Amino acid sequence: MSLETLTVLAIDDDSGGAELLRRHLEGISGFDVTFIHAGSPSESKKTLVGNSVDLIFLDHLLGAETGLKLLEQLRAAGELRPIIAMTGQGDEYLVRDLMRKGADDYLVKRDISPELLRRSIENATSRFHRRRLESLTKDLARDLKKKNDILEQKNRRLAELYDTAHEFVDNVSHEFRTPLTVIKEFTSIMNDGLVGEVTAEQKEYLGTVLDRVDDLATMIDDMLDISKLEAGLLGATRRVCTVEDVPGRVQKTLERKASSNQISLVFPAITSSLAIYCDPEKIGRVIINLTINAIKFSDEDSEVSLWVKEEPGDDTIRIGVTDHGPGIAPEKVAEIFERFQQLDGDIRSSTKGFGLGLNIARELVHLNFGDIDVKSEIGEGSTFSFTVPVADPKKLIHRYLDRIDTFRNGASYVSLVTVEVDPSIGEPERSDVERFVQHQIRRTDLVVSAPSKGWVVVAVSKQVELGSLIQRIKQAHLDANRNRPGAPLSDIAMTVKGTWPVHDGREEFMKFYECELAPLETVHA
Amino acid sequence: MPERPRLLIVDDDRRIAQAVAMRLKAAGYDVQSAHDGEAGLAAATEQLPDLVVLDIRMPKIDGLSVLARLREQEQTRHIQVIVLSACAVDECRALDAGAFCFLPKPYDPQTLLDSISAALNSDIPVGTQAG
Repeated sequence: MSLETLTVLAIDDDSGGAELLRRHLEGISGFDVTFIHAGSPSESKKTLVGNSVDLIFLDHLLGAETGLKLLEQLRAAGELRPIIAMTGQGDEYLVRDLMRKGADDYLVKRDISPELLRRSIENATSRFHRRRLESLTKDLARDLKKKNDILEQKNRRLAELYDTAHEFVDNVSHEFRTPLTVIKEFTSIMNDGLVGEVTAEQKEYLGTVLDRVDDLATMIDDMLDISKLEAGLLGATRRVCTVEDVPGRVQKTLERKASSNQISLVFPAITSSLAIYCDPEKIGRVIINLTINAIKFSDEDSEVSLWVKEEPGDDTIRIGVTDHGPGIAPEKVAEIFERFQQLDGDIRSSTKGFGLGLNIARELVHLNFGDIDVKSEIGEGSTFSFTVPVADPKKLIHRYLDRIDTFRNGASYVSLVTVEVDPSIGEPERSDVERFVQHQIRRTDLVVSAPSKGWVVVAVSKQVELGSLIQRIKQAHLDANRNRPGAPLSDIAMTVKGTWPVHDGREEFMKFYECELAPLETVHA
Repeated sequence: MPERPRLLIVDDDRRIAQAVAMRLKAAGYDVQSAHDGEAGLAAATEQLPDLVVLDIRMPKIDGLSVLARLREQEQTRHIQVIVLSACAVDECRALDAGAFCFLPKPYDPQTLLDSISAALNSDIPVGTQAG
């Protein structure tokens, strides 16, 4: 049988008492005891530093210095090892004091026997282990809290930087665009003959200036979009709009661009009043980028046509630009949407922009839940086209979840939040409330119409994380009411209905959505 | 002959205000200008123009606050506002605040003229246009 080794320090000014203790200890079976005696507190402190003592016996009566005082000093100095106090008699108050000051057990000297010692040692040792564990836990908790504080601080700093970056990009845009506005308007005032007649030659040059100003404005947008993409700041304000809202907003710019390049631009006559769901400004930018690209690569006097068609099977509309330029070789088609790719070109000597246009177009299409595609034949020309989803809530949610799933590698959760409003409100109040909600949600979240005149927010968060969002929207609602002329904005009630993992919980999410909120109406235009 | 519509241009960039004014005068409008938000609000309140062409980022009071104030005041509530801004991000806020439409700078002169005439002929009460 192997013996448990135990190094014991006895602190006792009475060497007879210490000797008695040693004998009893040696009488315990199963222990191989090394016994060290210290006759005074100062001696004991030296011994504790130098020796690998496992256990301390402390006599309560230590001459001028009582054991109680030494005990207190040892514990205050961080002494964790088990201490067994020894008293002359079983004084209840004294024992309570000793235990309170940090003794792990106590023995009345005259009762000492090997058996009692063994039990006391076990008792004290187990208390010591518990105490050490508690102390470790406390240290860990303190450490964790410290790290947590640092993380929170860093998070706050990141949020600040994010806002600053946003503001900065917006300011850059503003600073570039302001002088361009002056150049463009004064040039066109001259060009239009508002300040005196212009010759045909002057008119041509002024037209060139206007054309290049538009190029520059597009390049600024491209550069800023790219930097926002890089920084993860590019978002979209998607809303329900009609097909005709979209190409119309860029028609003038594109027509001038085409005519200054002697290209005949065919603009579609839009008859569809289909409701689609997108950020019209961003989709307008896609049309500009694709059309400018087509014009760049077309010969003079050729035709570039823009077209729009419904694709009912896919619940999308497709917007396309067809040119009769040189076309793209099949092996190059895959690269065409990457940055700085221009077919005939060394970007450094190119006068055709940064080569960012198609890359940005693709990103902006994806941001609006669409796909972009190119069909091309060498010598025949190219057709670039992209899709924009129809405003059907259920299908939008699917597209949205697809995007989150791909984008986040299946790691995220989505929560479903209902936004309810008094069903008796009419237009335009409902549109106002919808726009309010749309602008309040985060750029990563989706809002679609639900039955009973309300909305559903699909948020990329767990339920617990949504409290602050809802709180913020409530505050914004109060603020909006303060500034609203006439009646206050209708009250809204927001409820978090549940959280599901995006990747594995899709079916359950949709089932819940359909059962809880069915039957669905089509989205209100 | 009906009276010419009266327009107020509010833009802190004097050259932009001047150019817009030239363009609009040439189109037959009666045009006044102001060069910061405070002056713009005062001019709109005093002159009660038919329409305000409003910049957003301006000293003293920004355009969005001017728009909010115009909507608050009984006598200016009916005035149509077209926002001209060099920041695309202002579009939503401008429409929310009750602008008739938003045109990004550099704007297309013909689009500006078309928008003004649409706003002046609009039957929809001010502040309720959908974005």
